[in-house]
Amino acid sequence: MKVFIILSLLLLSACGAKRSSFKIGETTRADVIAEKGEPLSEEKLPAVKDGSMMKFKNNESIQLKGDLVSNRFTNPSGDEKLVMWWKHKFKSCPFMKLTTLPQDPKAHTQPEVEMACPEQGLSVIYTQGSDTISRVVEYEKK
Amino acid sequence: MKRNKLLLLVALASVGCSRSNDYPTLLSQLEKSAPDEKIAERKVATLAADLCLKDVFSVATLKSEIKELEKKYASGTKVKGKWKHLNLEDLPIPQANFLNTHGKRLGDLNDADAIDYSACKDLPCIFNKIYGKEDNVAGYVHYLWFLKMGNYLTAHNTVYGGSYRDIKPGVYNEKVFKVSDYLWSENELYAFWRLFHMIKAPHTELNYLTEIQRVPRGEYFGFMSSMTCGLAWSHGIVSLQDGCLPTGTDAHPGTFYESVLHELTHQVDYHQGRKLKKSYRSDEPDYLAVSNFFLNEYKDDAGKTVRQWEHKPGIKLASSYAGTSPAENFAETIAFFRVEGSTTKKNISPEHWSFTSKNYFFDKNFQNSDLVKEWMVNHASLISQLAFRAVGNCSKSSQGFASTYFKKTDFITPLLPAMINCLGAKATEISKEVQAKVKVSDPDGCRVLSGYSPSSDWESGFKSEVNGLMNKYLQELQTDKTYFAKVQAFYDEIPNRTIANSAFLSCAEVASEETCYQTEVLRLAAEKIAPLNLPSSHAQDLAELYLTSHSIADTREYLNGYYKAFVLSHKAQIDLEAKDLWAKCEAIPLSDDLPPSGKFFSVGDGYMASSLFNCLNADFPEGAKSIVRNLAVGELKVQHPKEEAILHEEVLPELQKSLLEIYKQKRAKENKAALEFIQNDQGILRKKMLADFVWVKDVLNVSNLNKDCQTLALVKIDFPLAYQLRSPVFGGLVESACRDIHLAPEYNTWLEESKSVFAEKSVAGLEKRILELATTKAKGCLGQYPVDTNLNRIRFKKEREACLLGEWAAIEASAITEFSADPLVIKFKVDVTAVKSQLETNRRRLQLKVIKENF
Repeated sequence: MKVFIILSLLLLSACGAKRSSFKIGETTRADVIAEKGEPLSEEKLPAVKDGSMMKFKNNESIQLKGDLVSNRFTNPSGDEKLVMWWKHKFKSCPFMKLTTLPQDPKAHTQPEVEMACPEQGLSVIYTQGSDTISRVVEYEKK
Repeated sequence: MKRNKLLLLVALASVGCSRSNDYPTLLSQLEKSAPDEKIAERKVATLAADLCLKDVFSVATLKSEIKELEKKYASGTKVKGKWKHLNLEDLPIPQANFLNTHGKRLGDLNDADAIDYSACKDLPCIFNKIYGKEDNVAGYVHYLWFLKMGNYLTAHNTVYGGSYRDIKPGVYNEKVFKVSDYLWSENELYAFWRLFHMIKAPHTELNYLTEIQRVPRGEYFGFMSSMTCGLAWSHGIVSLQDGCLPTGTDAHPGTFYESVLHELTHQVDYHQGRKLKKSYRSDEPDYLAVSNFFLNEYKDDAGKTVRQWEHKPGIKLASSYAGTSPAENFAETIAFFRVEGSTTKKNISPEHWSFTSKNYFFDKNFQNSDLVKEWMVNHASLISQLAFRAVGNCSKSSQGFASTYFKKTDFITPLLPAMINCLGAKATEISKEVQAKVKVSDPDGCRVLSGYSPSSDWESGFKSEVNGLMNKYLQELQTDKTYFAKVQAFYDEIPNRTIANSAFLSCAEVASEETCYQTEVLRLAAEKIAPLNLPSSHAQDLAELYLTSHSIADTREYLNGYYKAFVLSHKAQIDLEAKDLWAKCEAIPLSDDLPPSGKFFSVGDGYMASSLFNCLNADFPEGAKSIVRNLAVGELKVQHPKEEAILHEEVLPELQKSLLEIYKQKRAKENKAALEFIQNDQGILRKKMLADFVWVKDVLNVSNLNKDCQTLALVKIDFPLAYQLRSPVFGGLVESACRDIHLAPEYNTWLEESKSVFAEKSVAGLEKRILELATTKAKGCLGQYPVDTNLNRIRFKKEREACLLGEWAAIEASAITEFSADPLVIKFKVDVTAVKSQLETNRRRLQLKVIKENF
């Protein structure tokens, strides 16, 4: 019984750590590797000063500025795939921001929209009119 | 299929299939109850060789196609209600469904009475009144499009413009247009008709596509580049502009087909994406792999999110536009695959070609040679009959023929030259006759067969086919004079779908469905052929011919279409279930206590209270089941498991659409009430905000003051919203309630009275700013003297602190400069020296706080 409880606690702590383990602006590259193992790939970001991107399984990308984690991009899961879920989550966000992301000017599909709650350091990306979130972005809280 | 495999499959039939033959099917009841009228075939007695599909585009042809499709609705639930003078119950169900759903969006949307429909007794007539014509193809094409595709090819004067423009009926690009400017030309209507004979599922199963609209003739979109000829909106609207609509001729089709198919394919992308809980199906890894795209995604130095699609080396594209993004690639590739098969095969990679064929065209290809092969199969019965007749006639005829079509080595039995010449001449006639039939019945017929060279693809394929048949008949006639009469009976049965439908419904296991279907079709066909006492190899040929004419993909599409029509014929029942479901959930007190959860019903990127959303989603599956359980033909309800599963799949989107329609109505009603509330406010909210100032958190910064005001004002609005977020609805109201609130006399009186408190707040504000600047500096110091290891944490401790504290004086000076320039500090003549002195007292505390939080 004791073993079961300990195992359950270990499991809970491991699952609970999934999204919150990184502190944007504080977690280092070494911390990320210690937790997630070596990335599938790592590339410099020419357009970002001292920027690089580490890619992991499940389409998770971690952006670094120098040695520190600056952003994290993940796929949503479960109910978090719903735009509605995030509208509720950001409802209390005093200055929720909607930004239309630039796309190839030749494209004639609807643009992507970023719905951001800077106070929570979170934004989500979805295609205008769609009910489904394509990406969750974590960044430094403001 | 090889014969040995065939025998093996038939032998395994009784053990390999999971059958559900014991249950009666609605399908058999439906077929019995459908009106047994002979529908006029699209047939021309003696076909001129130069006739094309367009030559049979007539009211009579369209009417016969409508009649055939309407048969599927015969046993449905009559729709109650009225549309203008018409009782919906008196109309065929699909016409009533159309008027129930789209009846308010017909003709001039500025004036519903601008067109006199009083003489009309059916939907085609209503459309024709909008066109100002009598008994014209226009009305029938519009209705036929709805019957076949399930969406509305519009005949009204609006074009959706998203957030780019307001929708004003009769106005586009700020110019006024007549309704007729928004209507389709006769060539365009023909092209839509030709197109829907070219496409199958998934393009014909776009449940969420509602309207296909036409931009007024001569106009561009205005908000897009003038190169854009069509737009596909994710919530189910396609808009087309002149540039997408050149129709050409049957022999040389214009760009209409690839353009319209491109936009419909965007809808397929949205539709399939929605099923996967994604925005686009084309963003899935399997499509990115075959199309060679990858996403470059990051946040730039300014904190802006960048997401741009890039090409992998070696990418091959159906067109240059296909390189824009996976979504455009998907739409472009599928459109060109269908319309320009031969060119597209060369332009895209073999993997991409196979992927497209397998997933979007039931493994079919559309190169000229592929089309010709298919026509041979489709017309196998006719070719066989004509070949048999030719063999009989040439055996008896003494007439001389000059033909070099066949050589004596083409035949396995020795023949006289006169017989070879006769068969050759007859084969040439058969070829012409079948080609003529293909040209008037197949949308690609004239394009492929009317070229400058009379299609070598056709001749080589046809010659081998007819030669094989003639050889067989020459042999059979020597032994059995009644052979033709025997096989003719089965040839006549080939178009009958009964065997195929029965086989499909009897195979329930998804994993083995295709093998089971093939086995079952061959078994049932063999049973049907058995009484003919044919040689076993010929019997097998005939059974295989039946299977070739009824592939599983074809049967699945036919049955899905049939069941879809059946479900739509009971749309009134679905609407009723949706209303009941909504009423039940609406009765629960509104609350957002729990987060929204559910996968069955959603409202695009809209909003609703989570209690309602969760209730609708929780009860949705039972609601759908209840609808299926109540579907019946006469006394017979659904019993057959596979039939039930298919019907369930067809009911889901219809129930979703009915609920969405209720949502739209409720939201519009709520929005109207909210607007009235805003109009009646007349400064009440501002008065509430000026009644007390407990909400003020930052007296130094006017912008923050305004934000705090707006945040609280939003909460103070006493108007419950279930279908919208508060900020978009009341944003304007709170903005006006808080505008220049720092200038309001009430605020300034409060400020004067609170001067002493203000001084305290001032210092607090200044300290906050110092902490912000110091934290930024501390992060810089960390880069220079990291804490990435325990050793570094200890080794650089002194250097890190020195780095921060060495700049402290400059940080304070910078904050004090900003502070001194603040209008309120100036206004209240705050004693900066006293503030500085207080800062000195608190300096060490602030320094320790920054060190502790950052180092």
